[in-house]
Amino acid sequence: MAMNTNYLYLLVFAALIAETDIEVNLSSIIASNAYVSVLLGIAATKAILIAMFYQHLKYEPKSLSSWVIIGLVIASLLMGLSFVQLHVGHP
Amino acid sequence: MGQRFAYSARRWLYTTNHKDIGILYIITSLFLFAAAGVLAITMRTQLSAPDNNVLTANVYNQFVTVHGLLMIFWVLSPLAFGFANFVIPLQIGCRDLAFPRLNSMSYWFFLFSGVMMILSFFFGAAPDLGWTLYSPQNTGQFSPAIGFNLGAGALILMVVSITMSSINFLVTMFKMRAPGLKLRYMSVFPWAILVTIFMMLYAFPSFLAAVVLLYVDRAFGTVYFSSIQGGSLLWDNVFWFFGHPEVYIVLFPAIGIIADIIPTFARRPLYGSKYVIGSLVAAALISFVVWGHHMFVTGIGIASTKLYTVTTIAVSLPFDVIVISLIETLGFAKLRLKAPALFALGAVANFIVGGITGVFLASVALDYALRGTYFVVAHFHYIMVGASIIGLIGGLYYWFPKITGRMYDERLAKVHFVLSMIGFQVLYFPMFLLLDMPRRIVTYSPQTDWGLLNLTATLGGLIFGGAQLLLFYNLYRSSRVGPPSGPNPWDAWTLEWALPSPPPPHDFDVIPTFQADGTIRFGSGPGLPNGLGHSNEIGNPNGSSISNKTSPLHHEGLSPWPVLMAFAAFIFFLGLTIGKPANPQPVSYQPFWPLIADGVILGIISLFGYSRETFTVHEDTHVESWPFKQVPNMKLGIWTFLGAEVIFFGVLIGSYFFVRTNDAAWPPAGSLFEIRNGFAMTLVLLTSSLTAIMALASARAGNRNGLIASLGGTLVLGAAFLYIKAGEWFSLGASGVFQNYSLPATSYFITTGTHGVHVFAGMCMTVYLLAKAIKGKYLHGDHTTLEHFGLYWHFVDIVWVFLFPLFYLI
Repeated sequence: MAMNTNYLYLLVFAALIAETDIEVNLSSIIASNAYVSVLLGIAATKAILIAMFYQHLKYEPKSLSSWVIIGLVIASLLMGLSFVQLHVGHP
Repeated sequence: MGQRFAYSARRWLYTTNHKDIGILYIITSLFLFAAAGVLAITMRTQLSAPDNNVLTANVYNQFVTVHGLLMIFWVLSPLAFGFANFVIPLQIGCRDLAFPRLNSMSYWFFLFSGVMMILSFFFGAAPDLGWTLYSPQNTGQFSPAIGFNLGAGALILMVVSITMSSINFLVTMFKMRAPGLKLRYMSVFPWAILVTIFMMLYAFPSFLAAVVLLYVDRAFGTVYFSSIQGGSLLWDNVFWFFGHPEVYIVLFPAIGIIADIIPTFARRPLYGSKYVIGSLVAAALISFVVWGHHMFVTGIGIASTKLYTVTTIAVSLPFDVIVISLIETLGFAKLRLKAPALFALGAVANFIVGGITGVFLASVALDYALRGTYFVVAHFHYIMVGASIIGLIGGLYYWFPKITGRMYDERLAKVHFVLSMIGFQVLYFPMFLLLDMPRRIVTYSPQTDWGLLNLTATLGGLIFGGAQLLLFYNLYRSSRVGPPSGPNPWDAWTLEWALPSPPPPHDFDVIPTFQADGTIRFGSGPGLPNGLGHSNEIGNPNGSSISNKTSPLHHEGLSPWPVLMAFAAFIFFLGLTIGKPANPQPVSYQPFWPLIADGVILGIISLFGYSRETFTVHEDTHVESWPFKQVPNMKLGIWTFLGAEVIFFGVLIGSYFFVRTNDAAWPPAGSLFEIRNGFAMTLVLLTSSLTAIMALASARAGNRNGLIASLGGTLVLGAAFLYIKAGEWFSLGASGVFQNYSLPATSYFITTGTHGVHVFAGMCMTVYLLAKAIKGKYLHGDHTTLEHFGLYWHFVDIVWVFLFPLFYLI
């Protein structure tokens, strides 16, 4: 069991490193418009991997995962609505 | 005599008992209520006549600001949380909060933060631009006084206190309810506190981030709030994102108290209690999307103003439900008009006026006309004073017998009520009519027609202020010579009234059980009605098996470390904020290093003592703990803390996005910060996450060498990360990036600096864990500390996962 868990941790680590490598080399692959979104998407998948497997959120009750997601939703609201203020609906 | 004093001092300094801490909160906030009230009466005296010169403009501005800050942060919430500390564990049937020492630390942080705010008057000038601390007036260029820095330090300490308190209450209320007490059976006061804490947890980190950004701008000359791209609009967003929920944070506990008092004195269950609770939850959720209505005149887009108008009107609807429920409860009731009931009813009446005038301000057109006038001052004082303070005073009279075991003087309390209500209306109603008078002006011309209304308001202020002297006298005298109250003088239904007054140190000999038939049982004793309308009979509070026998649980409930840690933080922040200006333009300050060093040394000693102290907190297993039944208390506490950290870093990253998308001249990726540095730091930190999780895996497998090697690896990799970061900072410093900061340098400096501090804190924890691991700890199933450390360390890693592309690749 321990071996399996350690193997999983190493696998996640490998994925994180691979994604970081992709991030660094992404500018030569993707056109500029989608570049930022793809970069942030990769960062989000790395964060999810860490949270799920290193912080064991995958194995915790759903209530705890939901609790964490509430914080993310509220932070996103702040960023999203501030962005709307700056860039949407101005004459 | 001396021995008695020493015992008393030791008890109150070192106590971790929730009831003692509740009393400390209540007394401290009442003192600060008096201090802030004196500031208010002085301001009203200045405004009582045109061209008055009781105060200079400079002093008046300081009084306005500190009055607002003290009342909001150091009076309203702490008074409410004094009650919550005392009452909530009694109402939900547990013996203390989940983390008693953390509770004590919260109080001492709160106390020292208040001291620091008052000290700001003695260092040049206190903050002097209104409690909203708007940018760019809050920058060093326009507010250069050192006292402003102290004010910022005080706010940071206060938010730390609130965060600790929020986590503690959340874990307690989710995880430690008496058997059978499902969330839906809780009365409105615990629900109001639960919802308030939820808002505090997610709103205050935004304020903390705002004050940290402001402090760094002032201390180091960064330019978030003095730049055009950030400036006032950025401050408005991060401040009001916190600021509007804050209004409900100070209001909801009072609503909860009123909703406990009115049914008790009307002898009827609260009408539609589930709808009241639902409304509190709905208002709390909507409160996070209404902050823009404070910014209608700032030039935000039309789409935004429409959105915030709708959300602001929407947030008024749950309050309508609450008010209707309270009024319906009174229908056909044989109301006993005791002081708590009078204050509760007065608060509802004031709240209706304050609430309706708030809806006026949701209209963009009206807001354009009324913003920044005394109409707004009247509106929010009807909420803050009329509803919150009056409601909280109702709570003070309501729980006074429970806290002291004595009755207050009812006749004096009624005189207090009458004078308070008359004084309040005479003070604030004229301000609705002063709708063309700008707020925060020190004086006005005799040519205006504002003189009579201002004089009336001042007279009202004197009546209201004078009435509070009756309160203080009544409380002081009655606590000494008032007649014994007995356990339940109001024939109230909630659980605290089943205990002796005052309750014994350990609260319950036997943890009560909430029955499905609506009664509460203590062991095999008879049931008591739980006040939710299942039974109209009043239970016999003496029917329980409660006695004054002291439980062994709280014999050792004293700890010196919380007060010492708070004092260390106070000294540290004093050193950080009282330094003299080092650079006139842009303004920056030289920290006072001796005090900082003292604070650090005392902090390390306290932390060491805290961690080595044997302080057992019992986790009962047969409790009601939905929805976190399988999550241990400490783990839930850590995750809740990380939730607050998400908002904190979310605001830092959001601020970066804000200025970045607002600035067309941002340097391209790689031109300012070298990608290879960011890449190297990312690899190092990701590897440290692997070693941290391997440390936990080794501990679980009983592998001592693996544990020590993994923890050592984590420590070395953390150090390597900071080494590369420091090298980058020195290199950037040598190239002049940090002189006359640009926005890219500002955002980089603050965001990566704050992250670096988190890495350093994690390394300090690793040193502690490593020392314990070398001594053989964590190998025998006692590895939860490692798991909790890992949660924090991986979170710090996740933050960097986002900072790397944002600063190095975009």
